[in-house]
Amino acid sequence: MRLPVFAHTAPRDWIRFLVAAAVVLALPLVFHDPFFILVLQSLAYLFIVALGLDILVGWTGQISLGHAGLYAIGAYTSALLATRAGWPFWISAPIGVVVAGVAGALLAIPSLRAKGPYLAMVTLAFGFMIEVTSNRWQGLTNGPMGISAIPAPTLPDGEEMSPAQYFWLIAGVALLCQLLANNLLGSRVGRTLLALRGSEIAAQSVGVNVYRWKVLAFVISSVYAGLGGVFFAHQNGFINSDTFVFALSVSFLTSVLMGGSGTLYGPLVGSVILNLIPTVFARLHEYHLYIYGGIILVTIIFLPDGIVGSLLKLPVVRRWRRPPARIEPEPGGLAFHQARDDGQPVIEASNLTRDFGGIRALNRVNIAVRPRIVHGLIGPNGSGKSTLVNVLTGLYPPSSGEVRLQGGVLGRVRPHQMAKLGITRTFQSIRLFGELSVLDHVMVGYHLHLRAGIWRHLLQTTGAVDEEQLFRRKAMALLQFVGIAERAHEPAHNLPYGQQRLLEIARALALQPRLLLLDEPAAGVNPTEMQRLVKIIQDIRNGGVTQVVIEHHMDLIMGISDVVSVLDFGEKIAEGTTAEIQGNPKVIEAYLGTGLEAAHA
Amino acid sequence: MLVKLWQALLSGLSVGSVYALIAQGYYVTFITTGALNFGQGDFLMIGALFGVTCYVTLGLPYAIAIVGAVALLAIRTTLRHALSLSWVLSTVAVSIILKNAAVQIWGPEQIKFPSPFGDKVIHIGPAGIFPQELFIIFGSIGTVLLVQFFLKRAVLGKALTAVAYNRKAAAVMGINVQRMVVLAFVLSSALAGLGGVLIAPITFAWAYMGTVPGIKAFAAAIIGGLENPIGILIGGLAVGVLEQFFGIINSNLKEGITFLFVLLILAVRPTGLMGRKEIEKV
Repeated sequence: MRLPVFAHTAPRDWIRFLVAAAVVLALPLVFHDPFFILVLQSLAYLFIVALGLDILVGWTGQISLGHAGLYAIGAYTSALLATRAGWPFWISAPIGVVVAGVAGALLAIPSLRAKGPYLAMVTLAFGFMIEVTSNRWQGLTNGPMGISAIPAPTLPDGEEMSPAQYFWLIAGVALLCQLLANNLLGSRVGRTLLALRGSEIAAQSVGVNVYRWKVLAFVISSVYAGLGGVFFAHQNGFINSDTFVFALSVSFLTSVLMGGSGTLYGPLVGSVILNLIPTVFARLHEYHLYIYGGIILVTIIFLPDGIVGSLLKLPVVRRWRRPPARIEPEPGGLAFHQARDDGQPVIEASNLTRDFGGIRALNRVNIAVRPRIVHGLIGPNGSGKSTLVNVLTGLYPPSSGEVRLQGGVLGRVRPHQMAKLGITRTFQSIRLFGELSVLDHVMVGYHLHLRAGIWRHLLQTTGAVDEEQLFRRKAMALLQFVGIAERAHEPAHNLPYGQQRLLEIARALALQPRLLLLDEPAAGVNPTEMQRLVKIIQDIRNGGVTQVVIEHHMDLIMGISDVVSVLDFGEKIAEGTTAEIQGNPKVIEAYLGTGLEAAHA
Repeated sequence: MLVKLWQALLSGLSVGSVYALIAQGYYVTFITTGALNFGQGDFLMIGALFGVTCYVTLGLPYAIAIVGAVALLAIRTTLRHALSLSWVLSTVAVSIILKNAAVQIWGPEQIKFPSPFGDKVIHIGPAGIFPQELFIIFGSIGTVLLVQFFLKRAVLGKALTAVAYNRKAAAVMGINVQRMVVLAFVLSSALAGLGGVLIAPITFAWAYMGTVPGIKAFAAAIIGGLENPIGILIGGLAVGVLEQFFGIINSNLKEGITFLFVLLILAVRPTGLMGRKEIEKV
């Protein structure tokens, strides 16, 4: 029997969650100590925040040193609505969560282009702004004096929840949060986030709108943080500005790293352990910070992958995990874009110029690629071949000149939009998505063909699950086509160099492009693989896809190209059939220098 | 009003030059290791408190206080070369430990640190300034210039810059990369410690004094562009002056303005005002 939602959750996963739910239910019944129940509540909502932070840090590869700010926004929104407007928890709480999500979207804006320390600064500054606001805007937050008499949630009969009931509420929501996070991260969403973490440029090349997905990650993460904040605000009935400080953001981050960032259960383990430290070492409060700092250091030095991350790497655990099921390739799953051959060029550039500072990498280049052919692009190092590909795929805007696609002039088009127009590429320096499996790389390639969006994956509807499985079979067919199907479940970075190049081609083909640009596909490829590569390129052409191939291997270029263009010092010096090019004196000069007679003259 | 602005400019330059000094430390570690030393603020604190001990308690001259503080920091920081992963958090962890140590050694109270230059106000135009503040400005900017001179001219400094540029190539040329990384952290912490000794006479010295200046100096470095020392100097001074200007209007604004400013700048220029615009090579 299959449920209409959570269709992908296996029976053993349900059992796991039922056990977890039973533990949650039993804890306050077994231990009656009010302080203990209070600690349990805190553990549950702090875990929710850590889980959300992991989605941002571990999966998307962003950093946040300002999560305390989002937590504060959730807490203050709900607390103010409850105390000033007298709204019940059941209304103020969701609003608090939504406001935190909106704040996350706003925070995402300056974060999109900022990287590394600059991104750290954006989030840090955001956290401090909220900290200062909560401390200084006394009219709203009452600063360090705080807001008191925040009501606890009420039961249907109007009674306020007991501490145990409140714990059940928080822990129940926390369980649901974990379940939904598992759904999301185990689906297309997690895969796409990991892909853009691995290489934004490669993700764009198959149509992933990197900005949109980053905003999504920020919003999900902020919703979780806001939820934690809301539960905190209604826990003791009192909040003040002393809570929402930088150190809190650091502790959230520490929970994630300690548990293992980018793992499903790392945040749970990390946040429980870290937040139990003050309770366990309560008697040593003078040394609390030593212990806290020491534990962070020890974890980072000895468990750089975090507790869960390190456990997952143990050989015992690896063997114990079930091998992934064999996937049969979908019959006829290999599909190419069918170009109409109406004689119109697929892509046409006129007077294309691109400058980098004072260097002119491309100088008034005209090129037209006819449909259903292999168009070779050669030239000595530094002649502008890669720059041409980068401009044609939207990675760099041209300094002047225009690109025409099927007759229409392209404005400023970003790479993921180029992918939507059916143009994609492979990379000279291989760009894979970190630890993603070979199969998942191809799945990311299908990005624009997958219909089920975030909501359906969040709930794992049957439709989303079926679509996923269908495309997995198609991906297998594609991997079979390039000849690496037997390695589908391995992490892509384990593949030898030549196979990584083939994987890049498979990923690009998943898009079903009308134009495929291969940037030095044979670099570092051994002779056997080279033969396979030639066959693949020919098959793709026979399938109806237009290709532009940059290469230094003259045998390869002369063997497969229908037309060859030659660049030298940013200018196109020749174009024609392979025979014409081989006899062209300008080309010979560009490659071999001037002849003896000329040198003596 | 004009007098107030002039006064704010002078005080701003003084505070800002300390930010610039600490921010230079972020620069030094960032260019060599690509990592940031978030312990900067607390090294400032340790520097100040150690300075208090040397100067007030033991009655040593000011100069020795500076040297003592810097030497202590140098020793402490050599311990950190073992850490290579999750730098940010590890430096935060070190700073947490430093804070706890400071509370235990010096107590949680604010300690007064008398200025060796006395408290007689010097008048520049219509505004007054403490001699210590003037000393801060010249001391900080002088040190920043010295560090630049060291990095650009001295052999050791060049080695450091080489590591920053290409670690592997530097190693091939016989430079001990590990040692250079340690040196970078020592240098950066020493700069922060110096900042602490300089600023303590006009604030107070205490265990929690370092966090906010440390973060604001980071903001200054980011505003200027982490890889551009001149940008950082300007960023530091700008943050100091901006704060004082907004302090005239409202003391609450003063606290938040730096962070608002840095957010605005990064929204427009993601690598700071004078940072290099990165073109990713494909």
